[in-house]
Formats: sequence, structure tokens, C-alpha cells
Amino acid sequence: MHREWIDRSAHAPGRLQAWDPRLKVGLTVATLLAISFGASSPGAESWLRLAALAIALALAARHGRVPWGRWLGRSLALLPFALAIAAAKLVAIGPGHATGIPLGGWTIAAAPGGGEEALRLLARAWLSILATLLLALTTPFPAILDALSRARIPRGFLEACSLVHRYLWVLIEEGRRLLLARRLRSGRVPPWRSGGRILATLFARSLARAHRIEVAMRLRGRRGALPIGRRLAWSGRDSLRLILCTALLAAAVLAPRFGGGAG
Amino acid sequence: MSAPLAPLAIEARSLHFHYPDGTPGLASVDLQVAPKERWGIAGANGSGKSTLLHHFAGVYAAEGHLSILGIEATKRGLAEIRRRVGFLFQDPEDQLFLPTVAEDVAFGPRQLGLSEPEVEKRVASALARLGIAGLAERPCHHLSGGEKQSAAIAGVLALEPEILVLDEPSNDLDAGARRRLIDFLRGWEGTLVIASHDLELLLESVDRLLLLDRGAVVAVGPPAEILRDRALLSRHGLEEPPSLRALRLAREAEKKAP
Repeated sequence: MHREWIDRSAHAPGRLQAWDPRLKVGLTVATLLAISFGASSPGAESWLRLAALAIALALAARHGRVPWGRWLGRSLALLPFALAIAAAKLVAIGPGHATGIPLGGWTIAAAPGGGEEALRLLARAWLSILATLLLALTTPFPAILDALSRARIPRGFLEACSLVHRYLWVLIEEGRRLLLARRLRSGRVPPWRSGGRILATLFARSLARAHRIEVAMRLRGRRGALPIGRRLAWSGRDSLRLILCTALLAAAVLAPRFGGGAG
Repeated sequence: MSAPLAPLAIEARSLHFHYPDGTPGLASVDLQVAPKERWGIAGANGSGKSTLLHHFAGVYAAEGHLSILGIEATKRGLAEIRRRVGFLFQDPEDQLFLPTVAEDVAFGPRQLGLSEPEVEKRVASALARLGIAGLAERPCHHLSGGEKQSAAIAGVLALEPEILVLDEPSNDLDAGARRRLIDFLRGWEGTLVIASHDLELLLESVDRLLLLDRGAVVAVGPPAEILRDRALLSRHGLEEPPSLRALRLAREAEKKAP
């Protein structure tokens, strides 16, 4: 199952899994920033930077013994969300276009350089997904929350994330059972016809479950916050990894500029 | 000078309860449970079993009189009752709200403000007692039904409760997990209250049985005596458990034999 695959990979004995979660979260954020801001302008320099970051991600995945097929496959499954935004870069709508499809006083035309911009946006989105998925595949979710709590992310938000992570799959299982029950009683019902009612039922059940969980917490003496932010041990090796990875990331971002890439 | 008498584990007099919509939940329940006694509560759906258990666990303040371990179940006493009573929910999913088994079992002791070595000691002891030490680092959502139930019980045991209150503990358990549960219950040395549809489990695990119907107590006595009374059970929407039925049929066949 999807969740088991992710959890199994996060607990696997890869070398990346042993790194301090704060280091991995920090490096993921740095990589995402490098992807976002390092390739925002058109030109070969941006593409070289993206290629360098892709190589860095591939090396990291190899270091963590991440199953390549699934890592890449799952990342592609999330890509259609970015496709819609990329498609918008292909066209320009407004007055003053000589050729195109007239729309009232405006014209829909092909955006100059839109193809390259759309492709670059897709590449950035894909690399961002790969980087985030790599973090999920090499770090157990509670450890990610521990790292985020050290970064002073609000506790309320982290508690909500922890409970969503715990109960999302319970909810999905319930949803599947409801869908199956409906199918068995009414033949093939298209999801768009049954979806609303199932969501309403799931919402009602979730409310009831939330109440029971709240009572369970009270009965076990809950006094405020959930325990997030366990003891994390930063080792000398982690400091070395931090220096090395920062240098590699900086090289991936800066090398194309000094290498004479056209900007 | 004589030693002071230990308070009753549970004492209810004219305990009643109405749900917020006005539906009656309990109707004048009288009950006395001595320390270390083992009680079962049986009844059809909607008879008030869970509501009564919630009162024992300190979920609701009592209407009428209810004291748990000598503490009045008023709003002021509920926190202390919750600290001393361990409650197991019908669905262990509701009880396992932290990511891993060890973290979940440690939740209660940490809320008590115990030191970290003491928390770890209690977690290890609770897991070992249920034979699930190997599950400590497993994510809760990867456990089987029986493992979830054991982990939920471990979370309760880590609080070292004086009274253990269990709501339908054998729900969704396979035969092996159910047997392990019964073995654990039989070995439990504190006060025990179990509400269940599983009359066989009650027959094996408790010494006294209370039969509820529409929130009222209709019978109290030794489990085998009450569960043999087919007319009584039938009047209140229950059926004789299979083991007693088999025994009765065998005896009847013996009598008929020439």
C-alpha cells in the first residue's frame, strides 16, 4: 500500500535515513529555494542550474537507497497540477496582439517565449516534488514534525499535521468502504454522483471520531499540547554533512554563472 | 483500634443520566463494586452499557450519587477519577492518536509529569506485560486489529490505573488475539469492569454480572447463573452463550437417552 511503501522507505537502513531530520528539512528547504529562485529567468543558465540540482537529488536518492521507479512514478502522478499552471504560460491574453483569436476587445495569442517558460516551470515543479518526496521517503513523518518544531513552526499547526497524518488513512479506508458499499447496492455509480454524499458521511463520521479522540485524550490526562519535539541528537557528522551539502548546493547554483552560461 | 475501611471501588446510588437531547441514558442505577472485584456488564444495543462505563471513567459528572475510589464524581472530582481509572474505548483507533506505539503508550505518563526515565520504564513494562515490546517503534496505522487493541490497553496500563474499565474489548479480534486478551484479563489484579456483547468473554473473565436494559439494572449475580436464565436473557434482547447452550443440550440429550 502507498502509505506502507513511504513508511518502509523512511525507516529503511539507507545512509540518508540516519541523518538528523533538521539537516534534511533544512537542505530540502534550501533546495526548494534554489529551484524556485535559481531558475526563474529564461536562458541556458537556468537550465544548467536545474540539471545540476537534478543530479544532486539523484545522488541523494542513491545515498538513501530510495526505490527509483516508485520515487519517479509518484512524482509524475503529482505533476498534472503543475501542468495546468504551465499551460497558462503558453498563451497571452490582452489587447495589441496582431495575430490570434479575438475575444471581445482582446486577443488570445501564443505567448512569445511561452513554450520555454512553460517547460521551465514544469521542470521546476517536478524537481520540487522530487525533493519533497525524497524527504518523505528518507525521514519518518514524526521526525519531520520534530525538526519543524525546532524551527519554531507553531505547535497548533504541527499538532494538526500529526493528527492528519495519523487519521488520514483511517478516513481514506472509511471512504473506500463507503464507496464499495454504495457500488454493491447500486451497480456502477460514477464517482461524481456518489462523491458528495460520501464526503458528507465522512465529514459526519470524522466529527464523531474527533469527539471520541478528544475524550480519549482527556481520559489519559491531556494537559495542553501533544508531545511533538523529541530529543534530537546533532552529531559531528551532521555538521560535516551540512558543510558538504551547502557547498554542493552553492556549487550547483553558482557554477552555471561562472561557467559562462548565457543568461 | 480497627483499621479504616477501604472505600468501595465504585458506588452508585440512584445514578441517572439524560443525553443533551433529553433521551434517558441511565435510570436510577444502584451498584457497589468492592476493590479488586471483577464485574461484567451485559445488555442489548442501547441498553446504556457505554454510558455507564463513561461515568465510571470520569467522562461525565454524575446526576445522583456516584463515587469512584471514594472520590465524588462531581465536576471537581473528575480529573482525579480519570487519573486513577483506565478506560479502553470500543474502537482502538480512537485511542491511538500518536504516530508510533511507544509514543502513544508514553502519552499518559508524560501528561502526569513523570520524569523521562520513569516514562520509559512504564512504557517498557506496559508493552512487555502485553507481549508487544517488538511493536514499540511501529506506526500505529500499520498494526493489525489485535495489535491495535493490545497497544491501546498498554496505553491504559502505563497510567497504572486502580480500576480498569473496558468497553467491548473483544470487538474485531481474531481467536488468537481474543484468547490473549482473556488471559490478560484473568491475570489483572486490580478492579475490573467490562461491558461486552461477548458473553463468553464475560463468562470467562468476571465474577459478577450486571444486566442492563434501557438504562436500568434488571439483574445482578454470578455470570453463569444469569447467563443460564434463558427467559431473562430473552426478555432483555440477549441469548444464552454457545458454551452454556452446548452444555445444556448435552445434558438434555443425556436425560433422554434410554
